[in-house]
Amino acid sequence: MSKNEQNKIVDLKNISKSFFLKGGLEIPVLHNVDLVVYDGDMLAILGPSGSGKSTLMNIIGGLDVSSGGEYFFEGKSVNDMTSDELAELRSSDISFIFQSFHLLSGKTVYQNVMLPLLYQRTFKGDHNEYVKNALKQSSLEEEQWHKYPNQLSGGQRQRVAIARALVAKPRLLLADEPTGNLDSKTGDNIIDALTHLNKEYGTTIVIVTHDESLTEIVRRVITIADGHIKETKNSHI
Amino acid sequence: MKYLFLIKESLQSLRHNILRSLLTVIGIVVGIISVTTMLGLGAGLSDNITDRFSAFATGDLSISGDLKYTDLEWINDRPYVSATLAEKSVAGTTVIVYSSEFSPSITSVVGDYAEIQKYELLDGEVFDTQSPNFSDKVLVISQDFQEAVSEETGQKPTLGHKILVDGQQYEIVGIIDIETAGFNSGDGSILIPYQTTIGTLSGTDTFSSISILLEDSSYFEVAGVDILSGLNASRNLSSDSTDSFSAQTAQSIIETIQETANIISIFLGVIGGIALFVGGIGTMNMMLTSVTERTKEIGLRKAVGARDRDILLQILIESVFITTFGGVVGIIITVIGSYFANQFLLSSSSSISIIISWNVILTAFCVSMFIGVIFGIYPSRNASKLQPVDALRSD
Ligand SMILES: Nc1ncnc2c1ncn2[C@@H]1O[C@H](COP(=O)(O)OP(=O)(O)OP(=O)(O)O)[C@@H](O)[C@H]1O
Ligand SMILES: [Mg+2]
Repeated sequence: MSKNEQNKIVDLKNISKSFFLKGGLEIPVLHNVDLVVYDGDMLAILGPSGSGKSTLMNIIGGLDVSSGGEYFFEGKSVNDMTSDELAELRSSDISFIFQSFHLLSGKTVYQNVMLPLLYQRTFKGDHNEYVKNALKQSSLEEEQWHKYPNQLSGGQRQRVAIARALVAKPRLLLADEPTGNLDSKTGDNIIDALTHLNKEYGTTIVIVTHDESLTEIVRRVITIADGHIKETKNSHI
Repeated sequence: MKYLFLIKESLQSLRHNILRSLLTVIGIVVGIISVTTMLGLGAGLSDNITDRFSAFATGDLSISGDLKYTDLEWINDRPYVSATLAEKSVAGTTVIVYSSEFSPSITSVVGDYAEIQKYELLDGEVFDTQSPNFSDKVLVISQDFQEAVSEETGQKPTLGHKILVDGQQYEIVGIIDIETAGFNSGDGSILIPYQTTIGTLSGTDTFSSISILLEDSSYFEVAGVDILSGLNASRNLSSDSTDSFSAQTAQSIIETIQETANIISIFLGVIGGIALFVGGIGTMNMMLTSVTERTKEIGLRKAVGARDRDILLQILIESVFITTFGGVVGIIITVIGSYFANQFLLSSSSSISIIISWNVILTAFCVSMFIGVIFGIYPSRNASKLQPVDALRSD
């Protein structure tokens, strides 16, 4: 029995998701998914391409909505949230790291990392302090801060994306194949950085990956196949 | 203010695509120039017309119809009338000074000229306009006429000089400075005693209108009715007949003219507005393109916490900024341009000028902002409605 059991951050109950093509054709992707993520967890999601990993992440992250079932984030029903409330959720509680970085090319590293803070309605802290901390946590040296994304290497770009994901001190960090576009050495560095965040600051992290070696590091592993999920490792038990 | 950063974000986006932003601005600049110039021209035209007719429409009341000198006398005897003036323009007559031909406007005058017309005596005297029997071959010339002659011939006609009107010699007895009435050739004007023109210049002894100054100008309505019924009675017409005579107040004439001038102004404004409309469509097109190009960016902004209205406002601000900036540039160009255009118009002795009033400037400014809102709403709504997943997925 984990001590974290009281602190469920994500609670998915019987979630299903289908996409509908223009002709009305239904593409079922997720079936009856039950998943709980606890505070402080570091969890990996594995599965073949097209199995619905990103779809699941998007639902958890409030970027997409499920077709059926219920989703509670820290006890609040996400199904019932308005688009403003979902925006608020993404603004202050959840952040994303994408495979393709998604940095804004017209902004410097520093400005990219600042972006999530700008959309925070209730942010009270000092923007610059938060940005600098996040950049340091992601091991980005100061001489990189005022460069534009196209002046950086892939690994550096992903570090910027991590800094952007950290800056608002989210409860939950979702990383969808964060190392997919990087060579294995750079990828390992990124994974190290994420592991460090989880250990040092207790940030809850969910990582989608193809990389089997990651299963050694994380405490829990979820595998998706045919729209169903299975917990294949849980070192808490 | 919570939304202040959106202004910064908007400007950053516009700067990121500076060339396209500037090209869009040009469309608005041209549109605003065309609207303000047209409105300015309309105002200039309207001022010009009003000025000319204000000078023409003198007195409190003006009676038109087939009027005789006896009618003038009768009207003069009304207790509420303080002064009257009958003027009649003599058309198609040539004037020869120093062997050169001129075509000033020639007016035959009887009545209280000094009281009803506004002029400044520069030299000599104005002949006895009150006396209907005064028939000396004299005339009063306007300064404009004097200058036109001097420009053409190099000689300045002065008091005592004789000039030929319709082949007859007239002596100059006075020179006045007077606003020219109506449209004319630019040769100024000449006044001749009423009696002198009968049988020589005009043939008949009738007038087409009589100007009246009242003891109290607010009586114009009652006075008009009374005079008309009197004139109708003298012609054995029913007292309220409008067949032969009509009464107009100077005010009503000016109002009618101003109405016409306003319609011309609006018409010109609408023509100018077409260019602005095209500019607005250009802005919308640019914003739509820009939203499509930035679909991923918008998805990312939403993924990090932007609400629908944050996106909506940012795109709207971009659009309003483009059009307002274009508006300001357009206004500045128009103000400078119209200054030089007016210098040119003045030097080519045209009496029309482009008047860019604060009203026009303010209107142009507001319209340019408004255009940004109108043509920005559709693109910004499109952008704000994008679903974050779909937007991030787009290529
Ligand atoms: N917007 C959409 N419209 C239609 N089908 C979709 C849409 N998004 C995803 N799908 C389908 O859903 C399935 C799961 O897609 P998803 O992106 O979640 O897979 P994945 O596990 O992340 O794959 P990968 O490892 O390649 O990233 C795929 O078959 C995909 O074609
Ligand atoms: Mg995926």
